[in-house]
Parts: sequence; structure tokens; C-alpha cells
Amino acid sequence: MFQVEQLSYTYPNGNEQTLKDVNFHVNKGEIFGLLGPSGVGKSTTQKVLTKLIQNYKGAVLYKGKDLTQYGKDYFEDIGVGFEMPVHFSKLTAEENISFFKKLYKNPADTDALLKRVGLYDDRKKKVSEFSKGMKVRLNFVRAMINQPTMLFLDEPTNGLDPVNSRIIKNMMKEYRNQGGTILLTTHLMNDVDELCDRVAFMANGTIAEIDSPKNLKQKGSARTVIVEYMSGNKQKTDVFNLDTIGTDDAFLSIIQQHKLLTMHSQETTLEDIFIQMTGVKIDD
Amino acid sequence: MTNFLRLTVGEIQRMNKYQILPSSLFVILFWIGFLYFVDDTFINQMFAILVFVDASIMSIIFVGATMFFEKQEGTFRSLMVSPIRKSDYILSKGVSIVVSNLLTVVLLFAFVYWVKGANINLIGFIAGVSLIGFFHAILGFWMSFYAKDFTSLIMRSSLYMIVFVVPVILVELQVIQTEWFAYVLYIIPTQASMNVLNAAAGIPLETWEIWVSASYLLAVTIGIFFITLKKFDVFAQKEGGQ
Ligand SMILES: Nc1ncnc2c1ncn2[C@@H]1O[C@H](COP(=O)(O)OP(=O)(O)O)[C@@H](O)[C@H]1O
Ligand SMILES: [Mg+2]
Repeated sequence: MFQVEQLSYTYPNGNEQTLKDVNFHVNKGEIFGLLGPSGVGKSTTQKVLTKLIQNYKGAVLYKGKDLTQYGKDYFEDIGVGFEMPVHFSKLTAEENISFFKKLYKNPADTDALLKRVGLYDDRKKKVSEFSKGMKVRLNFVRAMINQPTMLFLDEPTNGLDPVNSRIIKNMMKEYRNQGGTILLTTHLMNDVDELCDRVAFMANGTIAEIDSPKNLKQKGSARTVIVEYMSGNKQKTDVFNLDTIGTDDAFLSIIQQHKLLTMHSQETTLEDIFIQMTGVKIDD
Repeated sequence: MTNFLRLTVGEIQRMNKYQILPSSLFVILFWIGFLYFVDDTFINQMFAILVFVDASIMSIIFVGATMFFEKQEGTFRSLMVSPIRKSDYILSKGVSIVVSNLLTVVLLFAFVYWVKGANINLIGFIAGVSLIGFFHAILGFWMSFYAKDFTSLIMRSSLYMIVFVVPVILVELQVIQTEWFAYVLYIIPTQASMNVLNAAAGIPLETWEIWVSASYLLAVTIGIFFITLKKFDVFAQKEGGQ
């Protein structure tokens, strides 16, 4: 779908490069994640790919053709979910949706979408009366309004309670299973782990690593077991390799001869891998 | 319906919801009250001046207000990822403002025609106001892109009023009577606007003067439209990229 090569960008009023030689591609039919702490340039990357930023350096190809070659029809193809609310606050949700919907050739069944995200009963309310989470869900409907073949979602579950977050995530999976492609921008590890076919780790304006979450976790350090036990009247802690404990004499003698306090296996999380590979911590 | 019409209808609906049309109606009421006390001999001239102010300064402020809301609420960005032409977007702003200007003209006209018995060329006013309103709407669009907030837009439009609108009115009311000054004013589009409206109000003007002013106004309006179209990407970057 997308081929991004040597993408660099500096904001006109910024003194530092926000994006530095970013390279990645997005395959058709996958959920591709851009993961990184806030301020690394995830949203900026999305703005470039949605043509909100145009004077970038490098090349962005969509379906093999340079992005700059596309006119307004590009927007018939893509759906954009913004991080911030993007609705006329003095209009109702329904008025907002129907205004934007009419601009497209191939509009979605928006009543069905509103029902699905739980906003149908509130459709006649002004958006200014909406809670943060309701606005986030309305943004999602806005993104899906034209039955896009390519969907951009910038922090789509940010500010949602677990139930609504679940609904949006299920809709994303369904969309992908029906052949849609998603570029998901997020700082949430769990969302990436659950949803993404591939993920790019972003740190300091560039991409440190791209792979499937599963492969990335395997690239992490060996799995371990931490054992806390009593030795005499002293408490001790030892760490063992989880893959070899069955033949590890030291481990075996501890569990046979000492009173165990706790024993925990340590699976590497995506978060650990992220820190290992980028040297940067993602905090919520 | 084309996207241009959809944008225009949406824009007018929002001008209503965002209290821009209602404030315009309030201003009209105020002006009707004012015209009520104007002596019949001056009514045509006052009518032309009020319409002139409405189509110029009010257009700038109203477009500024819509742009301000679009920027603040992020809807500008949402529009920029919709399949619309930039010319449709700019035209829809201009046309919606002209619709509100024409509403003012028609209501004021109805008042001076029936209550004051004035004889005014409504068609001439409609033509003149369409040009003047459109020109100033695009000017307001420009100004709001360079203004960082609504206050600074008001500052800019006040400055515009002092430099380009007030002198024209002062000459019109013969507060300033220096002849060369009146000719200097010919280089600014607001004087051309006033001339066109005066002609429609039946105030005696040389035929060449009317034609020169009308052509000049038409030329600057077309000019500013195409310049804005060219600069639109720069504008949009400034906002969409935020
Ligand atoms: N409009 C802007 N002007 C100047 N700098 C900006 C602008 N928007 C974002 N930035 C800067 O660019 C960097 C990346 O921002 P962003 O892409 O929003 O990060 P993320 O989405 O990963 O949190 C940040 O340092 C931010 O301060
Ligand atoms: Mg962001």
C-alpha cells in the first residue's frame, strides 16, 4: 500500500528535525503499527501520509504512485482518524456526520456505525455536550465514513473505557479481515500486541525496528525465573534461565531443600523489547 | 449536488448555528433604526454607505469567525482530508458571505423602499454587493490565516477599516473635501466599491467612472481569488500541519 523512503521533516517553526530518514512499508490487508513514546513523530508521520504536510523530504508512494501525484480522489480512498476532536461542536453528531458523508462518492452506512460504537442514541446531541470518549468514538466513525480501503488511526482508543476500547479494537480487526489496511499510531503496547501484524518501533524521530510483535518478543533476552527462598533464616533471591531449569542443579537443589517464598517466570514483554532496542521508555 | 454546493449549504447552516447570521440580523435591525432617523434627502447615500460597510468590514469579520472556529475545532483538518477541491472550499466561503450580505441588502432595501419611499436600483446593489462581499470574504480568509487568534483578526480588520474604509466614507460625506485625496483613493478597491454602490443608489457619477470602478473591482476580485488558490497549500500547511 505504502512505501516510505528516507522521509524527513522539520516543522517550519521547529529548530529540530521531527522525522529523520524514516523508512517503512505497509502491506495491503495488514494492521501496521507505529509505536513510540509521545513526541517521537508518530502523528507527524500520519500527517505526511494523509497529505496534511506536503513539504517533506524523501518519497512516499501509495499503490506505487508518488503521493504528490494524487489529487482529491486520494481522499475517496483513505479514512483518517485524528488524535484530537475534529467536529463542529455546535452541530449535533448526526449533522456533523451527514455533512461530511455527503462529500464522498461511496458513503458508509453511518447509522450502523453509530450504533456499533454506541453513539446512535446520542446522535441528536450537540458534540459540545459529548464526553471525551464520545468524541473519540465519533472520530472513528468519521474515519470510516467513506468505506475507505486504507485507514489511518491516531491513538484511536486513547481516553476510552475498556468496554468501548474493546468495541473499537474488534471493529479494527473486522475491517482488516475484510481486506482493509490500517496504519495504527499508538503508544499503547497492549493494543499493538493484540492488533498489529507488524509494528515499527519509533524513537527520536526515526524507526529502530520493524517486525511482527511475536518475532520481536522472541528477539528479546532469554526467559527467566526469579526464585525467592529462605536460606537458614536469611531471605535470598536467585535468577535462572527458564529454558534450562529442568537440568539446573542449583535450581533443583533450592526447590528440594529450601522453603520457597515466591517463584515468578519473567516473559519478555513488548515493552521490555522496546526499551532494549531503542533505549527509550514508553510511559503512559 | 456538487461538493461546492454542499460546502456552501453547510457553511450557511453553520453561520446560523454559530450565531453569525443572527448577529448579522441584529446589526441590520440596528441599521434600520438608524436609517429611520435619516432625512429623506440623504437616505440613498446613507443606504449605500451602510451596505458598503456591511459588505466590506462585516464580511472580513464573519469569514474570520468561521475560520477561527474551523481552526479551533480541528474541522479545517477534517475538511482537508475530504475529497474537495480547494477552489470549492474558497468559493463556498465567499458565496456564503455574499448570501448573508444580500440578506442585509434586501432587508434594508425593503425598509427604505416601503417606509422611506426611496428609489433605489436593487439589481445594481445585488451585483455590487456580490463583488464587494466576495472580495472582502477572501480578504478575511487571508487575514485569518496570518492572525494567530480572533482578537488579532479584529485588530487587523480594524486597521483595514481605518486605512481603507473610513477615508472613503469621509470623502463621501464631504468631511474631507481635498480633491487630490479623492483621486488617491481610486487606487484602493474600497473606493471602487463605494462608487459602484453609489451608482446603484442613483448618486450622480460619470459613466466612465462607474465602468472603471466596476471593472477594477472585478479585476481585483478575480486576482485575489487566484492568488489565494495558489497560496492555499501554504495556508493549509500552516493549519493542517498543526
Ligand atoms: N505544529 C507543530 N509545530 C512545531 N512542532 C510540532 C508541531 N506538531 C508537533 N511538533 C513537534 O514534533 C514532535 C513530534 O510530534 P508528534 O508527531 O505529534 O508526536 P507523537 O504523535 O509521536 O506524539 C514533537 O516534538 C512536537 O513537539
Ligand atoms: Mg500523536
